[in-house]
Amino acid sequence: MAILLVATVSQRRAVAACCDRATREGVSPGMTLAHALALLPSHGIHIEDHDPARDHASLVRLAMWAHRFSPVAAPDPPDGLLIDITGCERAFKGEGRLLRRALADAQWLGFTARGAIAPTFGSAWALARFADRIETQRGVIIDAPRARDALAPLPLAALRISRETADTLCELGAETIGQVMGLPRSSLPARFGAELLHRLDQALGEAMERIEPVRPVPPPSVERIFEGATTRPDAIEACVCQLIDELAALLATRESGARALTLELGRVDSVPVEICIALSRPCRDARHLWALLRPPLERANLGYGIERVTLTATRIGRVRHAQVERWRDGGASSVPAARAEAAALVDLLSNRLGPDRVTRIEARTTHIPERVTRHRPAMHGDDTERAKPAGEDITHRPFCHPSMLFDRPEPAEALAIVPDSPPSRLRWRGRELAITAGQGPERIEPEWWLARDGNGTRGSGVSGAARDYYRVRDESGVWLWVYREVETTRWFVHGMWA
Amino acid sequence: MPEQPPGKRVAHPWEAAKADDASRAFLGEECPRPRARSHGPGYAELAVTSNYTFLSGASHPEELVAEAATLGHRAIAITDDLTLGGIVRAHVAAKERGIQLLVGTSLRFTDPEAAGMRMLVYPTDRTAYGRLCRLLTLGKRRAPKGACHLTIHDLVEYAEGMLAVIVLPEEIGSEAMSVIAGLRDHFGNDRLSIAASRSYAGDDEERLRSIADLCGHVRVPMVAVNDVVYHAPERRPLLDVLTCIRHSCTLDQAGYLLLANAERHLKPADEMTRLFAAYPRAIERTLAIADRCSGFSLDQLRYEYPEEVVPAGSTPMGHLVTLTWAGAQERYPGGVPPKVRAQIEHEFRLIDELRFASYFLTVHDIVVFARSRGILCQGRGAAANSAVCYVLGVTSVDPDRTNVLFERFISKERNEPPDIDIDFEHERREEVIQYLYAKYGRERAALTAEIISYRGRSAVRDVGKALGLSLDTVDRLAKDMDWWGGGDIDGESLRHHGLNPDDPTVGWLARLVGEIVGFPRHRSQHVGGFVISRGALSEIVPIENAAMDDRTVVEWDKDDLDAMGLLKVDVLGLGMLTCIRKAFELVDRHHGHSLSLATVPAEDPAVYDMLCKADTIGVFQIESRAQMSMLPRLRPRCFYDLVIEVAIVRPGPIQGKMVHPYLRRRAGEEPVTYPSADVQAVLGRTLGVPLFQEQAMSLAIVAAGFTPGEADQLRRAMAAWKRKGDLIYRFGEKIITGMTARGYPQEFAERCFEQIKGFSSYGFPESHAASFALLVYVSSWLKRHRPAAFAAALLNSQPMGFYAPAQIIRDAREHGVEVRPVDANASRWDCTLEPMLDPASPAIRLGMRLVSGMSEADANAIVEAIRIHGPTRDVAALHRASGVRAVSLRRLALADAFSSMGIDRQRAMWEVRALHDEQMPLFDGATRDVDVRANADIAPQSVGMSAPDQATTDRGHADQAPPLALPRFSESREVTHDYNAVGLSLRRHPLSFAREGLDAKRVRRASDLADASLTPAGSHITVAGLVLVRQRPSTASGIVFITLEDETGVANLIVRPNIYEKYRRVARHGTTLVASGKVERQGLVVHLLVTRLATLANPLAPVRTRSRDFH
Repeated sequence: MAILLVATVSQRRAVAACCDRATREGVSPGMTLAHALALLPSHGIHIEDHDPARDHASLVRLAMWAHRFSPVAAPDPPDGLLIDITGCERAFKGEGRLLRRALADAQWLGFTARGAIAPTFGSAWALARFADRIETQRGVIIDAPRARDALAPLPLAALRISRETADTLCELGAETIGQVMGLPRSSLPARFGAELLHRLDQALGEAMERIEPVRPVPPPSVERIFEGATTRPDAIEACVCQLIDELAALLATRESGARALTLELGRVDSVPVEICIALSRPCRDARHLWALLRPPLERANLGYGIERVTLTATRIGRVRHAQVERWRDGGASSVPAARAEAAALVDLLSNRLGPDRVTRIEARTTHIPERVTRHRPAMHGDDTERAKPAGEDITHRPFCHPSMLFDRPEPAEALAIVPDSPPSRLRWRGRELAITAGQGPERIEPEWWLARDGNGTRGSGVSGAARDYYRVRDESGVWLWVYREVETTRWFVHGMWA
Repeated sequence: MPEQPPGKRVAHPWEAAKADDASRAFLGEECPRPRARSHGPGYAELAVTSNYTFLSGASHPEELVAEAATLGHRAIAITDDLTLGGIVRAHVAAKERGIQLLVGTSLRFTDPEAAGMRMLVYPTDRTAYGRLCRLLTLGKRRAPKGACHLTIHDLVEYAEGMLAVIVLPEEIGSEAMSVIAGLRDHFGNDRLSIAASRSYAGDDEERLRSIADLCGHVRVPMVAVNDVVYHAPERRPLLDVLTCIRHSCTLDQAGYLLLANAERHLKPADEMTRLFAAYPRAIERTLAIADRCSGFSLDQLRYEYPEEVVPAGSTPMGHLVTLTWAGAQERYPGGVPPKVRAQIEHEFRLIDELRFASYFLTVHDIVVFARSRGILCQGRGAAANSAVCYVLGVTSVDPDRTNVLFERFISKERNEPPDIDIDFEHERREEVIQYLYAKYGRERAALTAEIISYRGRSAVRDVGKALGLSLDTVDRLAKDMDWWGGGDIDGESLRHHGLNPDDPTVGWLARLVGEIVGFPRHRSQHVGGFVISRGALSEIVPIENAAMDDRTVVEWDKDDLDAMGLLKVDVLGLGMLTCIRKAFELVDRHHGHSLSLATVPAEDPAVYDMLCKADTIGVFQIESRAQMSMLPRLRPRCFYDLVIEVAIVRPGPIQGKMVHPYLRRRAGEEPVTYPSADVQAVLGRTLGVPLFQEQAMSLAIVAAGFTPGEADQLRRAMAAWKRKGDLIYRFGEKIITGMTARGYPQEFAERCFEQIKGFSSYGFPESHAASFALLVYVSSWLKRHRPAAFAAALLNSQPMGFYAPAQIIRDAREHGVEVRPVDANASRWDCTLEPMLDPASPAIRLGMRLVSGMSEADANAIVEAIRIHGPTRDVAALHRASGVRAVSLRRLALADAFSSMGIDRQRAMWEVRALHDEQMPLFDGATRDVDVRANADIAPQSVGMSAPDQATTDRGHADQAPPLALPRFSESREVTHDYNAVGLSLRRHPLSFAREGLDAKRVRRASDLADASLTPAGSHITVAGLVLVRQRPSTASGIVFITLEDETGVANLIVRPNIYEKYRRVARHGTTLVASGKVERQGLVVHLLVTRLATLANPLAPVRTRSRDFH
């Protein structure tokens, strides 16, 4: 299985990254997808859209992970880490051990890793990428006196210079860093800009280079430790309420809200009790959070007592600034407020009944009555599917449909005298109905592309055959929605107006 | 690679119908009568959207008309949205089926109060039709391409003589009401109607009632329509897919964009009467409208030729006669030969009878203009190769040298204008086009439209997307499909892409692709077809803006124009004419020998000797692989042989199996026999084997007793053979019975018919071949006698032809021409000739146009600076004096164009890097300072550029820079740079660097192939080389031809499909190949039938990538 990540560059689909297997077949990043596909065997290709943001996020996570080797670690997009290990080698009993450990750990995480330790970031960068493949996989270490010699045979790309500059130098016949070092320094800026000299100096340690290390950001968390264990629910509840207020204040400083909370009750006698709740939208409303936490807290087994309470927002999300209402005008609540209340209800129900049991009805645009709605878990938010194209042409709206649609159309017998007109009598659910008024027909044909057979338009498929719908009223004044299958002329009742 | 195949086009009914009708009559059959009309009053459908409302209608106009005729409708209207694009096809089909067609269109307005409302309008007479065309032209000319902006006010202004039907929007507000009332006041209730339809929407009864109420209220009659979007309900899936394509969404996303049912098709009159049982007057109204429009038909469009080509006081014919005899005096200073005189008079009779004099005058006028500007041109087509055109100078092919059937292009039966295409130099065609616009004005001259239709590949792509297949699957399917084979998808290729052919979605894909192929998708402009009229063209056909600025296009394509008998002149561009003109100029300047197409010495045996050796690189038409392998077998010895050579390597003769019989007869391996003297007169020129379309027609006349008009129908039937298979066979019977009745053997008759059939649509008319053959001869003559001028002209006309500059130069050097490299001191933009000791054989100095990335303006600035200041030895001084951008000098440095200054490439590249344009934004402050200081240093020193002595001091200055520490370029590096910068190298062939390794692997040189003792037929050998050309002709059933080049010559590979598949990656993308296979010899022609392919590490691996492939 060859894996390709694909990006769309000026309307052409191009390979952004590919796996080793694809590389062996001659695929390389930057190639158009069509070209790459022509090179690969036609089956067993997995193609996915390249998501640079996700790449970067995981590189940042990897930099966090690298804190185990040094507190100063930075992501180096697109595919590297820069770690300042000055002084840290002692904890690992030497640079060699540190490097081998780091490479082995990265390997274990599933990455193909190559690494180098050198006096400057620039030279380490160059060596890790351009020195011998096997050696760098084991780890290369160069000390200051040897750095110059080690860099000399490397290709120009190892200097971190722009592609254009590298190409120009190549055209001139310079292929290695050593050859560029041999050129007169003063002649370089006018010809290649300041960049080349700067990068050269950085690699050789003649210019400073700073990295911006990532710092771990712990999730917002607040804690209380009691002087002695307590089993008094009111004390614990009061404490949790306070913690919620504190957490809310903390979240406010970060302009965010909680999407998931964990309340940890440290029991004296056993493992802590964990209470987790999830929210459908980021929230830092103390009352709402308390309303969600309270029921599980009441059920919690406090054992021989609680000595510590920790409240952590394990997942947070951004909350946009909203105008705060100082005075409620009692009457019409605004739309955002109503939406917030609906979200609060969803949270409440989902946390009590289980996330899958609370669903939201989603509207779909289709002519087939039974496919007009579908249920989706409410916690997933209400990204209602909308008909993508909007505009002049959405004129084919269905005619008035009933307020109650039966799950299954119910067979009925009908008497219709004139074609294309409503039935005059109907036998349904064991009753004879005299029809006094009617409207129709509305002819709805199946969605042919879902049909199982690939040739008939009017053949029976998953959505059945063409139907003629009528809106009819019986003598008691009830409006029914009945239809006749055009081909079989069988009648069904499909809904009613309540 | 494969030529772009003609898209599968639905035959214009015109082509088929003409052949059909007349031929049926003459074959003694009755024309089909419409089916018995239904009882009752009948019905006419007035609201019909065809597929010329692009992506909105799901049936061709012909299908709609045919279905209406079959249903027995009284009439049918075609009312496409703001266009009359499909109306000609509908008109022709309606005439064929004997049903009345209402010309109409559907208007929408930009007024906000008329939102959602449509107006169907139908002209009732010729002037009203003219107004409708003008109205549409008005709306289109003021909108961007493809749009049409009209207001109700516009309509009211142009509405005289039109009937109108309002199609109401979903919601009828008070604004719409007032619009309707306003229209009623203008049109009166007599010319206005309001449409009502029943589409099974659920509230049909109520809606009908409310429309009826409205009609009563505004006192406008109601008319029944079914608002048709396809001819039959089976087209519903196709319409849904078209809707999705229009909105670029998938079926699942489309929702309410789609119709709920399939009711909007043509319904029988009885059914319509039943649906409108409550409103019988609405049905009657359809017939009333149809009756009132019956006074107009497109047949009334009288086309008139422009008159300004005729001087006041004389008739077109009289003027043509005067011009012709005057021209004849020039062509034949010694007196007009009697044969030509007779021919001219014969042609005069036909031209006069058919009133085509103005047409010839129009063509003559264009040619005179071109000649006055020194633009080389040449007419093509049988009318162009008439004696009249020869003496008028439209063509240079002496009618004496060919035997063209004038009737083929001007026949009495076809009342349509003759066909003359004029080729101009491709670089100067625009001048001719602008001349036409200037002379006739936008009102009267416009380009022909070209309807871009769905073909296999685009169909798969769009339908696949609508069905929701993944983009990559669709792309791969579309790419891999055998798209020149029409729209069929086979199960094998589906499985190959991991799709299950039994999956219903795939079934739909196959079916819908089949249906959509041939559907028009958008309108584009024809390359050079011009329509010119006497009155306003916009009263004949709507005109719209083209995508290109300053172009206007009519709505009809060339078949439509043919069907309507409109004058069309094809103004085409031909690269070889540019090349020949440039060669003539060079010859004139360096040899003092002034030449023209007509004065190049004719029938030079040395030229034919060269052609017999297939030494034809660069020669027009006969430089392809197939042509080159034909030449040594055909061995052309006279002009007419060239005509045959051009025509014989064509799909028609190849498929008709005429090539080998002809070659055998020519080689004397088969007796040349004729069944009769009549046939000998027709086929004598081609040794009894029909090679041209004209011969097929003549044969039908002399041997099977056809009239010339019937023969012309035969030609149309041949053209339509693939699409209407049965017709040609009926002609076949007629031919065979006709021949046998005249005493020809059955076997001969059948063979003739087989050969005629072989022409299908790919036959080459002799008249075109003759025009081309002249260019073949002229370019061959130049190549043989003025090789340097010819090669330089070819290089200056690039891109054109089969070969890249590298091959042209290589070929020139092999013919003893000295080629000098690009040099800043000596080169101009174009390649030039430089005198040598022997003035008869000048050297070529390559021009800066070959340097990649060089601009013509900068090249000219350099040439100008050198002209003023003389040659220089300093790059910086050249930079200052010429004022060109530094980047251009860098390009020249890369191309090693400073060697005459004593600066090698590496040094030049280094020095040029330090030059900066003053305005150029620099990298940062520091460098700018350095640079400004550097400039300040130099600026006062010299404003102008150094004479050589001053340059030396400048050099001294430059020499102060320390010597380069970089390794010198190796020779292979220099060659690589040559290829990167100029696309060729005068040093060594890249493959020579790999030769040592190749020798070790026993790889042969290409030159070994010429020697039968080294590489006997049937032996297995291996060759290697750069890929020059890859070709996959559509006639070769998947065989790919690859030409490899090494330092000794070229090797021709034949790769069969199975081998191609096996080595697909290499065969398709490799730039340097090693090929093994069996040697095949046929006289001088040697091929390698490939059994194995591999790539060779390119000895020219570009410098750029070398630094990239490191890790």
